[in-house]
Amino acid sequence: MKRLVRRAATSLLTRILLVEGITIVVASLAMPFAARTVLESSVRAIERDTLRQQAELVARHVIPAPGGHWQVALPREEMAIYATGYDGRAFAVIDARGQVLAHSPFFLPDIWPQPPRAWHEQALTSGPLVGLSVPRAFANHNVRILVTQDQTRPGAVVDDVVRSFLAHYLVWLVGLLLLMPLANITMLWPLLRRMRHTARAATQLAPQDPGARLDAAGLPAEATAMVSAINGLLDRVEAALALQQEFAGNVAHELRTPLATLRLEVGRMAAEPARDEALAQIARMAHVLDQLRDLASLEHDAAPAFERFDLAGLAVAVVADRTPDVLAGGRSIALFGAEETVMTHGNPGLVAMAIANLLDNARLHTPPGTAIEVSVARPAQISVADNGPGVTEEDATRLARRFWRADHRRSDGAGLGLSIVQRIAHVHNGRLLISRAASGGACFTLSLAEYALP
Amino acid sequence: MRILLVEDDAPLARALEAWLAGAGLTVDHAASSEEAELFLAANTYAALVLDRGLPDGDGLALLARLRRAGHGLAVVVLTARGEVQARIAGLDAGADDYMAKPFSPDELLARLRAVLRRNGTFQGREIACANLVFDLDNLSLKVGGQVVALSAREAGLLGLLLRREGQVVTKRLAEDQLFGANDPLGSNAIEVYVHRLRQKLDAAQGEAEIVTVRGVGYIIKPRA
Repeated sequence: MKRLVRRAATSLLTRILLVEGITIVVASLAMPFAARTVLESSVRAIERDTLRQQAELVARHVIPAPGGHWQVALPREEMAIYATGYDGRAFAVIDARGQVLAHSPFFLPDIWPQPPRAWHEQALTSGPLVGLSVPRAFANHNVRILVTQDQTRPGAVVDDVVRSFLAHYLVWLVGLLLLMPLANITMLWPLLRRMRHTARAATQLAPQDPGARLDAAGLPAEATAMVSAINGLLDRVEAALALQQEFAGNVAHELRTPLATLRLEVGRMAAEPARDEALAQIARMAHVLDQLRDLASLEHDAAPAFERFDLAGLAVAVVADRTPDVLAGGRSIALFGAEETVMTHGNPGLVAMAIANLLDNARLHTPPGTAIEVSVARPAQISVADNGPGVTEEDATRLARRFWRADHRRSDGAGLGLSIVQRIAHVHNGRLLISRAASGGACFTLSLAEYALP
Repeated sequence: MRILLVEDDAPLARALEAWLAGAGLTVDHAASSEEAELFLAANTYAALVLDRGLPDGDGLALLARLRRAGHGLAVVVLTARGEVQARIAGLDAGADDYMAKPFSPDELLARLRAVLRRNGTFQGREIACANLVFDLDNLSLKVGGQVVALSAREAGLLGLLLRREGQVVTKRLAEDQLFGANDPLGSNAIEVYVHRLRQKLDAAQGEAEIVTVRGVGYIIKPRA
C-alpha cells in the first residue's frame, strides 16, 4: 500500500493530474470573482455614461429664473422617462448652497444627506440609488445637475445579466478545464504504456542473448534519449563480456601447451605412485580446461545454428569417443535406444558437448566398477544413469550450479560439467533433469523435446 | 625412421623430441612453418608431427600447402583446440590424425605408428597387442608365438580392431568394412564373428580381450 502510494506520488501522470486539479479548483474559485469585478466595472461605466447623457440633456433644457424657480423644459418623449417612479429615474438642478432650483416629479431630496459639493463630475450612491452630479454655469449661476437612477428596479437588469452570465460561464469554464486532464490522459496514456512495455522488455534482457536491445519506436523524444543511453550501456557491457569470454577461452587454450610439456616430463619419470598421482592431476587439469573452453565457446556463440540431426547417431559417436576413458577407470558403459535414428532439431556440436559432459560427470563422480547406462529416447531425450552412490535431493538442487561438486573432498572434476549441460539445454529450450536411477544411482536426463519434430 | 616435429613451444618441443628419440625415432625440430618448409625441402620424412598454433600462422595452412604440393607424408596434428565436435567430425585439411593437448605420449606414438601403417611407410606390417601379433599383409595371427588360424572375415575384423587399439570400433564401421553392399547381412553377423574370435583367443590363451560396448561397438585391449 505504501509502495503504491509512493509510486503514485512519483508517477508523471499523477503529478500532471494533481497540478491540473489544483489549477481547476483555483480557476473555478478565482475566475468568477475576476469576471464579476471586470463585468461590474464595465456596467458601472455604462451606467455613468447613461447618467451623463441624461445630465447633458437636462442641462440643455434648463431655463434659469431669477426668483429661484427654475424650469427644465424637456421634450415630451424625454419627459416621459421622468413621469413615473419606474426605474427610479429623477433629476434636480441644485445651486451652490444646496438649494433645489428645479426637479423631476419623483426626485427625493431627503435621501441625499450630503448634497454634492464638489465642483466636478461626481458619482453618488445612496441605498438602491446611484447618481451623477455634473456642474454647469448659467449666467453667473453655478449649478449642479443631479441625475439618479434606481439600481434595483426591473429596468436596471444589468446585475441580473451579470449574475446569469456568471452561472453559465462557470459551467462552461469547469467543463473546459475538466477537458484538459482528459486530453492529457488520452495523449499520455499510450506513451506511458509504451514506456512500461520497454521497461518490461528491459527486465527480459538476459546474458544468453547479448545482442538484444531495447526498441525506442513509439516513445517520446525524452524517453528515446534514455533508451538509447541504456542501449549504449548494453553495447559496452556486451563488449566487456565478449572480451572476458575471449580471455577465458584464450587462457584455457594457452595453458594446454605447458600442460602437454608437463605431461611428457612426468611421463618420463620412473613409474611410482607419485608419478601416477601427478598424471591424474594433469588429466584433471586438462578436463577442467576442456570445460572452461566449452563454457567460453558456449557463452561466445549466443545463437548457434540449428539443424536437423540424428540424436542416436550422435550418441553412438560421443559414447565411442569417451569409452576408452570409461573402461580405463574400471567402469563399464552401454548405450540403449540408438539402433534406430532419432531425428531432432538443434545444434549437434552443442548436444555432443552436453553428452560428453554428462559422460565425464558419470565417469568422474562414481567409484570404479560402476556401470554407466546411456539411453536415447524419442522425441529427443538422452539420459545417462549409473549405479553409483547417487545424489541426495539437496545435492540435486545445487548440482547444476557452477563450480559445485557433489563431494567437496574429492579431487576430480570441477563441477562445471553440469552447468555446461544446463546451458546447452537452455539454448535448446530443453531441460536437464536430475533423478534417482532405477539402480539407485544418479540419472541425468537431457531433454530437447521442445524442438523435436513429430 | 625420421620424423619432423613442428612445434614453437621450446619446452614442449624438447620434451617431445626426447620422448620420440627414446622410442627409436630420429627427430628434427622446426619452430615455425617457414623452418618446417626448409627442413621438408632438404630431407625426406616418414611423418610430420605438427602443432597448429605456430608463430607464422596456423599449422593447418602449412599442411594445406604441403598437400597441394603433393606431399603424401603422414601427418599427426597437435592442437590446443580439442573440442569433441572437432574430433568426432574427423580430420580436416588432410591430417591423418588429430590429438588435443595435453596428450599421452604413448598414445601419440601409437597413433603415429598407426598413421604410418595406413600410409604403408611403416617397416614391418605387424601390429602387436599383449601377446598377439597380427600381420597385416598376409592376415595371419600369432598368439604367444603360436599361429592361430582365422577365416578371412575373422582376420578382417581382428585387423580392424587392432589398427584402432584403444579406440571403439563402432558396429556400423565394422559392418561397412567387412561386408560388401551385396552381402546379405544378419543383424547379429558381427557378434557371431566377435564370438568366434573370442573363442579362438581364449583357446590360444591370448592376453588381449575384445570388449563389447553395448549399443556402440567393440574395443580390443590387453587383459587387465
